[in-house]
Amino acid sequence: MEGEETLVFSITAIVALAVAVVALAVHYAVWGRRRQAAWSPGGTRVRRYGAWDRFVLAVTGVCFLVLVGTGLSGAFSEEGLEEWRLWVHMLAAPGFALGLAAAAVTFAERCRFAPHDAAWLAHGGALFGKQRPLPAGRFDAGQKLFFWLGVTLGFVALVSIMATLVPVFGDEGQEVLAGVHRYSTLALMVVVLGGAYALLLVRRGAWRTLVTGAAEEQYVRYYYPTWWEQLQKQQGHKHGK
Amino acid sequence: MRAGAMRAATAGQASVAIVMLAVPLLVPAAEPQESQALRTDSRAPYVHRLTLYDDDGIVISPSDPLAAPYSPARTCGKCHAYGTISSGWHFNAPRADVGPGRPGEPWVLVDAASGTQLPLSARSWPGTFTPQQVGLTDWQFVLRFGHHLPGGGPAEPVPAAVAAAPEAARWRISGPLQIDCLVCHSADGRHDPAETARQIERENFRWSATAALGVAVVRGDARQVPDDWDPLAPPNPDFPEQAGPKAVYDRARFDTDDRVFFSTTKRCSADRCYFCHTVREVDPTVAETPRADSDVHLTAGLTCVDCHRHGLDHAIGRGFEGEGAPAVASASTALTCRGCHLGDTASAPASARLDGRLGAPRPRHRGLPPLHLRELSCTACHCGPWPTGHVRRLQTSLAHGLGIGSKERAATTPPEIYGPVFVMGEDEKLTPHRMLWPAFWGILTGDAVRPLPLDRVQAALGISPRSAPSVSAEALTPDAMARGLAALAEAVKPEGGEAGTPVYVRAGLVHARHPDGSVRTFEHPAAKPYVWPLGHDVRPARQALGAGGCTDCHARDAAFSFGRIVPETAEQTDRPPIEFMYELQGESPVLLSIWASSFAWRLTLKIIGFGCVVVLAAVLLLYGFSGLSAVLKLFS
Repeated sequence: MEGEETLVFSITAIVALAVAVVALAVHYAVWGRRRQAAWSPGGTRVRRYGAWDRFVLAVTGVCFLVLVGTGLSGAFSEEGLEEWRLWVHMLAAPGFALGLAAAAVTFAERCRFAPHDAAWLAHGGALFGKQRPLPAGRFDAGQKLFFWLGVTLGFVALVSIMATLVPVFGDEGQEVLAGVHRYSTLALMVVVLGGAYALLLVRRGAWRTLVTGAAEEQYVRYYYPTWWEQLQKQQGHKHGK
Repeated sequence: MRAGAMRAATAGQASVAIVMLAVPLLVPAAEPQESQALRTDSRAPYVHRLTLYDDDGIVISPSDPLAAPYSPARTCGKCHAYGTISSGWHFNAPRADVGPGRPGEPWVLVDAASGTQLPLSARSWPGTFTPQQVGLTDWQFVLRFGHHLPGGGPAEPVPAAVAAAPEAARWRISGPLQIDCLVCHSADGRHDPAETARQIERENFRWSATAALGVAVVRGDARQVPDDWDPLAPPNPDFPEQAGPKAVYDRARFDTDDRVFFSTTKRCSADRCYFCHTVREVDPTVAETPRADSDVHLTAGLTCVDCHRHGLDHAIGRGFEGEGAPAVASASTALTCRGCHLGDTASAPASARLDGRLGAPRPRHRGLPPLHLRELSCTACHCGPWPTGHVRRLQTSLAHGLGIGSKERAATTPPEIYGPVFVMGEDEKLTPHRMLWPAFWGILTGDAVRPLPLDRVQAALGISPRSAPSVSAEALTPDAMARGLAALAEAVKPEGGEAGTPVYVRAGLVHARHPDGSVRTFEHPAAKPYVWPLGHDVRPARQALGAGGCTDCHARDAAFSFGRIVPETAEQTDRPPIEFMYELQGESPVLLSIWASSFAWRLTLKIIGFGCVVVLAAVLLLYGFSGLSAVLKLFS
């Protein structure tokens, strides 16, 4: 990046990330903390993620953190994306690309929007008022939104950087592509920050569910009532047989 | 004019002698006036049919047997302000009021017998020594390096400096070496700069421009005459060689009005520049090095001065970004690689803000990640010889006297100059450089190493100053070095002025003699190689580094980082502490190797990357259309 572009991106990144953090902090202070008490662990567990699901998410997440760490530190350091940062960045990139593609294939069908998601979205996922159950399938509309935003921004980031490696774009095209890569990843960072907030601080038990692959029955019934009903029907169907 | 000249001739030998001896001392009084230039304001060249003037401003007549040599300052200075011109980059090195500028090619003090190759520059570039620091007077400097001096600068000292010089008597006999305009501005190739070199060797400084122009032959050598030479005295029959120099003019070169046609040009030919700026690759294992390709700009029809421009001040642009004033006040900053090929947005003239100047094509750099343009200079990929596993040995005009006929010059003739070496430039970009490992005898005082004057070293080592440079530094074995250090210790001790330890510096190491006679070897900044950036020959895009793919540079054996930079002579003696280019670049060989290894998988990684792109695109399209269809159904 030339000096002026570096400065503009650095300022934009600082502002975007600061706004996101402040917004999440405000949300946590006003609504988020109360939500943690809404559920307590224990009871029968329901499998939500298979081993493959968790492997894919783990690879994508770790690679993304490495990419963010090297990319952002490069943007904010005087040396820029100097060699060791660049190398680590580029070594983590294939892992992220593979992880993202695998995640897209794995979760796309599960994250297809359903009619009941409109109600979830209309109530803002009950994130800003009194907490109450909202209709949600295996993934609620917020998680679906997060997924599709993540896949789309990840795709833009990936395609923009891959395009620089083919002898099609000249200097100016390369700079544009590099800009698209930087700003799409910044947007992805903000999205991931929101997702991580929901995962770790707002929805108690979500992280444990992701790590172990199973969620408490109470948790599933509360957050994913539509899916729970489907599971019940399937079980009833099996028992009926 | 002729009458005037004849009067001068008939005034007797006395007046001639007085003039010849007194002029250098009376230069302030007789300094050519800064004339109002006679201008044509046309692009058509002015036909220079000129009357010649000598140092005293007297018109030269070819029929005058006592005619003095012509003076460029007097002759050319009639219309062109000599004083202004003499402030130009080619002449202003010794001036304290001129900034050093970006380090460039140094003069190299070479003495093969003592294993000395020492970079010198009056500009005090880091890593060089000034001529004064190594005990060279202006006189000695001119005798040693004048073969490629265009005149002026140290060759034309002010009268006070002449008076104070140890060689004042010689200066008075030889005269100053004025700037010879024709060295650069000759258009027809009749001016012979090699003749200048021959005249300087004969100490005929004042006569050199006349001989080089070819309007006269010069008989006699100033170096043969004694300090008390009397130009009025008749030749001594016992010592006819002491008659002193004399210009014998070629009448055929003069017209009936005693004017001489000067074939000059403002757009100097590259061939003129090449006399001083030739760089030749040599391979000691090959009898004849094949002729190198020319710079792509010359092939395209440009010449050096199309980019390296200047005004009357001759502050010639050196052509790199950030050059700036004051050294090149008259040069356009837009005349850089970037300025012509990409446009210089900061430039005042609109035409210079745009790219395509002088027909420069706009580079595309397709597929080249932009990082390269930030981290590398343009020259890194486009200039100099293609890098090889071991840096190439080079010879330059200034260092090896190229352009002057010699039967002794061989591929191994010192100094050892190598290139291209890719190291960080002043602009923090990797830039190709040429490199010289300093080798010299000196004194270590505290932490500082300073070279000893060469004549003292030669005296201490018992070397004749006239010894033929057929012996190169490889003859200096460790034993010979130890003996030399011992001899030097003895030589400097009696004088009492050299408090310190005698040392010999070579190939990045300092060899110091202890009082007990043992020799200790250690690294020292004074032993570091001197490097200076190269800007030519420029190779076209399809010959640039990277044209063959990423592995031109990103390979485990790529010369760009893994090229060996050990001087050939050190291969047989002591290896320097820096062996590979990555060490000068400050890079880790492990990281470089890992990175380079990844390029073996680069195609695989690209396939993976694009495979992922295809998968993601397919998912997005499939579910995107599906979602869109659902939304449309909802609203319909």
